[in-house]
Amino acid sequence: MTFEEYVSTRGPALVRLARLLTGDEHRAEDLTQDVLARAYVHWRKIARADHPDVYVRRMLVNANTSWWRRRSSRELATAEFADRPGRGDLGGDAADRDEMWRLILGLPDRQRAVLVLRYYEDLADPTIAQILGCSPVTVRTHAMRALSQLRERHGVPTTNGSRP
Amino acid sequence: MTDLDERIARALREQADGPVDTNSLLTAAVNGGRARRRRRRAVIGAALGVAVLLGAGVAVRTPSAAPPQPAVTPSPVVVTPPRAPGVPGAAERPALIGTDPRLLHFGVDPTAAKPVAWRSAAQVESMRLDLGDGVQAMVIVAADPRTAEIGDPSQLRDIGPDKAGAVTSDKDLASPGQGLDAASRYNGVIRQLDRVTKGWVLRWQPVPGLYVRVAALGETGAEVRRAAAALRFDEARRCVAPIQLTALPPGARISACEVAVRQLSWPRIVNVGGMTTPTQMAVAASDHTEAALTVALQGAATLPVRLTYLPRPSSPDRAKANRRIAGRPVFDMGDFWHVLGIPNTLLSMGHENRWERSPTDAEVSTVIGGLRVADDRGEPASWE
Repeated sequence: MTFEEYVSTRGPALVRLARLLTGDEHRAEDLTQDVLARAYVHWRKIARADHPDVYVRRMLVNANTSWWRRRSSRELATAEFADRPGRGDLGGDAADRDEMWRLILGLPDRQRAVLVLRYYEDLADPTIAQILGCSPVTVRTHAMRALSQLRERHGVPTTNGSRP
Repeated sequence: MTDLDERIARALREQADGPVDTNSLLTAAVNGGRARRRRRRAVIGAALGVAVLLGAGVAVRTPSAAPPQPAVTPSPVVVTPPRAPGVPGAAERPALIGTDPRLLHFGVDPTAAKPVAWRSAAQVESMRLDLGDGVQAMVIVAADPRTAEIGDPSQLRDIGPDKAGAVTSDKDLASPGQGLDAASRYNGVIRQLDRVTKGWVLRWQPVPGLYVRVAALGETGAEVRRAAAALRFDEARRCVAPIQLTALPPGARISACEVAVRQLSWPRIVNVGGMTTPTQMAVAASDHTEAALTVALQGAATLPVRLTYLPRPSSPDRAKANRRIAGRPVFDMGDFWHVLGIPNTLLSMGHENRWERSPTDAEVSTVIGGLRVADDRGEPASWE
């Protein structure tokens, strides 16, 4: 597969993944472009890999993590989003999705990445582990902690139904 | 799928949806890739040219060619970070703040507070203190009041000095255009941080030209005063870390040292723009050690070397090495490298700033070749 073929077929999915990882549309486009530019330089090596898409998604996750490390994985003396819209501005379902998204956005980046890869990309834990460079056990741990936080904050009673 | 699963999936789908201009993406990626390749070749060419001119012996900077370490004598009491005897403290020479990433030009009374994180970078030095009973405080020291407010002058490059006041959520900060008045805020008055429950900040000048900002959580400003009283500006400490870089590429230098050994119970938040913090320092989980040494490479590029240590067995199937560099197994991702084979430790280095060039293979090989990792990565007192 040539680089051009890869971007044509997988590019949109990468941008959508980046939107969820970054929480910002413009930042997602920048991040995807940057990662693809880096992939272009090493495309022959990446194309020879067993799963080029796993490799590129891993680059995307790492790039996002690195960016946050540099910019935002910091201590900050503040507590709330100033421009958070009131829930009364939205309809019931939309408000629910909005609140859920904000909770997801507030998760640590590894936990958020696991949820995105699992619930949006619909990937199995071993593949998520490959992308994140960790073990499937670690993936399940991240997922369990993330779900636990979402349940607690979203007022959902604890169940055993979700994938751990 | 449970109700929660469905709600998560719905929320994610809604956020991810939206058109993507594939042609623009492809064009930008190819153009960016070509530019990156050109820069890389130019840097390699320049490096080879220098090596040819000066002889191959200078291609790798050896430990003996590194700047001399300040004289250090063993401290009778093990305190972390350890004292740097003979080095003047900030009170004596405020201008030394942030001039040597191996040093912190202030210290702490170990009977009053315990440093759990420390950082020395260009123009600014900082510490996070454990005051006991779950109370922690953040300390920022600089020779310039604007730098003390921002925490890291490198952020000014990205956001512009005029915007510096606008991007922080601490309304107590001098607003844009008031930079000249920033010094007047260092007047020893404790203020409550805006929009933070029980957050307090104290700014003062221990001596003229030395600006100190301390922030802590508490019912009153008493914790801030306690942290401030624990500080010592008549001594210097060494910025010890569980990693050492004994070889650097030609023209490179270490520009920042950052270590965090304990978790901080400080409110962390990411604002919508991603532009945030006046108090920059890594946060380690409760039983993690995190450290970073940033290498400033020739040609305005940086190579951060980061270590995360977890005192439990890490996953056995972490990425397998795809090459060896300087005898170490490495997972090479093109411009991000994971150094493998160090128990319970994730050690990575790589390109983090999209506005800068990527490190070359030669630069990375040199850094990995000179990498030294402490045997006991969880015990700061053993680091040198």
